[in-house]
Amino acid sequence: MFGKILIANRGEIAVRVMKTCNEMDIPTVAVYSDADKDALHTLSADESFYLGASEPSESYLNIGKILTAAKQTNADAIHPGYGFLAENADFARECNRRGITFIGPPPDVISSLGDKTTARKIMREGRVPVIPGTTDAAKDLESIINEGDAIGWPVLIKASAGGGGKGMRIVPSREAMEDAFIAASREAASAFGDDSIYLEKLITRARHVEFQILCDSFGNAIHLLERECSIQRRHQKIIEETPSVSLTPELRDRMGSAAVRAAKASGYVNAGTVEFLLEPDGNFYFLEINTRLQVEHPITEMITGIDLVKKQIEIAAGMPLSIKQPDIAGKGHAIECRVYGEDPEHSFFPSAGKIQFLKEPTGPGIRCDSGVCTGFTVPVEYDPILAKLTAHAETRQDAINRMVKALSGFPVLGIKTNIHFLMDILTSGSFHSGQTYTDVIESEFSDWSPEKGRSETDERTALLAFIADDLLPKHKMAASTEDKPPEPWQTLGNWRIS
Amino acid sequence: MEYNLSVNDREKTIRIETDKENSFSTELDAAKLHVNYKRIDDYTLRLEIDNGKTKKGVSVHLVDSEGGKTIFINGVTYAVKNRDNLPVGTIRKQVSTNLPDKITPPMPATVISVLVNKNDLVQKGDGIVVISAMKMETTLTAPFNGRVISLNTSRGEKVMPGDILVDIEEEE
Repeated sequence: MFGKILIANRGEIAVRVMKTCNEMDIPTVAVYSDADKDALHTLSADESFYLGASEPSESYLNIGKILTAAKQTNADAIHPGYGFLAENADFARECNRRGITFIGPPPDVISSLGDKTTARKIMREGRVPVIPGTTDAAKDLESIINEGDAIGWPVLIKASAGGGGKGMRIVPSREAMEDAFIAASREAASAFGDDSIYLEKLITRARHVEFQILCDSFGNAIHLLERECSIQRRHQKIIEETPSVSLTPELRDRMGSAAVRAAKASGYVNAGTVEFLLEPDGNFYFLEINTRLQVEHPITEMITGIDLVKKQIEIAAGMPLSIKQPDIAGKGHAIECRVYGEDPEHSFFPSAGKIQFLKEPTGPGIRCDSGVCTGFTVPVEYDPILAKLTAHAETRQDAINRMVKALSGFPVLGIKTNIHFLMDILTSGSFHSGQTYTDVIESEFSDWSPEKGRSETDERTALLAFIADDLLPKHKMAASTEDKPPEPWQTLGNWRIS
Repeated sequence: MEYNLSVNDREKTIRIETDKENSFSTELDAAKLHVNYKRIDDYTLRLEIDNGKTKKGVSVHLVDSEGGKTIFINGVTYAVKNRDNLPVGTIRKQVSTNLPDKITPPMPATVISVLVNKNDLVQKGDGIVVISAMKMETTLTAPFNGRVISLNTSRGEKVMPGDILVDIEEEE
């Protein structure tokens, strides 16, 4: 087993990985930037290593600095978390070259699955259903119109080199193809320096269903059931649950086997996630494999009782999987909500600043993976996720109720959060009936305003609380450092003592 | 004692009678209420509200904010302001609009693009500047109908709250 693990990440995921390392008695190293000197993850490790300025390129994305940190602290493995360098094949390669174990899949698997057309080819060869369409770029307008006729209109055209919606067009009919093809090629050329375009069937009303996979280096591969992640805002998942209301046991088996085939076809090792689009008629298509631990992994841990980070570490250390497919059973229902520092009243603009007060909810079946605490200043440089709240209960309805109660008792003061918005989605008719398609937020919550959820009773309570607070003697805690009289060093300005 | 408060911009005048320690009585929205209260910590109060028929206990969390307090109850935040402490007109101005009347970022950000030119006529709600902060893009929109009189920023510039990125002169 490893002697020491460096966690090349920050926030809630760094804290979460350290918890498992502690349980396994493996010492941990945190890395941090200027903005994170007093961050929870920095204070949660056995030792911490300063990387540099707050900009990600100077800290959490800086491969050289992170490898130096590992060398100087004698860490023999690196856990990359999610985001930052987690899916960077060059980083994984560089770790391996220096004899440091990268806790994740082999570098070549990361690169081939990161390329959309290569991944589609691998999946086709592995008999995993992909969205019908062309594998290679269209030669000319005539050939792409013929492809459209073969698949059936409407279709979606995409840039081969694509990403971020650039060069992407919905084409409703063959007549509209000429204009769309020219525009998309032009856009792709200017964005990626490559004008090639390919075509896919347009999937309109779909769910996002993904399968957790675990593969060891001895060829054993299993899946740990699904997660439904259809509740998204601007393509960002905000609520995830398992099991999915849309899977029958038979469909779950078929999709699970496809996920395992996808893992094997790509030579996968370690924990990963196979994402599918699921149509209402039960047809499903491969979307991509995420070669990392997912943000939403806690719901899988809740229903299966398996610690995914522990499995990642064991697999990376060369141990075989100790569990087999028949050992995997889901118990109850789990839901995760992502709590973001953002302002729902001003088009969800990120809200950074000092957290004056925060209290994590507790109770039966409640788990809070938090990366922040009272007194911490949420930096502007990074993703605005504050914490992930997970509720586990016997049934879906119980889990919803438990989650709503937990959110209602999760005060975060000093910055704005999406807690109220999450509660309104969870209590909506569409969420209750399981009508969770990827377009649900755009179609039903686009005109959301905080006015809707405010109750007159609580409004009166707020007035009474104001008065009570005014009447009570103030025994506010000793003021924080910024309220203290400045020390001479702080008032020296630009003068330096040499 | 009398309080002139507003909650989420709705004004209320509340008279209270303090009878014994840590409790008061009042009439609010035609209901007679008796309130027992206790401080749990600097940011947490426990209230017991008795309306003569039922008693209800509730924990509230609160923090001082501009002109009053921000109060968290059951997952929702309420901005309660003390009108006696505010300069005349402040409340009115906030009632009129949720949008800031200046084109300025709500937090440190980078300018992605400026969508207007000098002398352009803009309508309320038109996109003026696209900015990016914390990996998210947001469009700052025109607070009213008007004419662009100056552009004070350009693509790629790092900007701070309070920087007026584009000046718009209001026109009817």
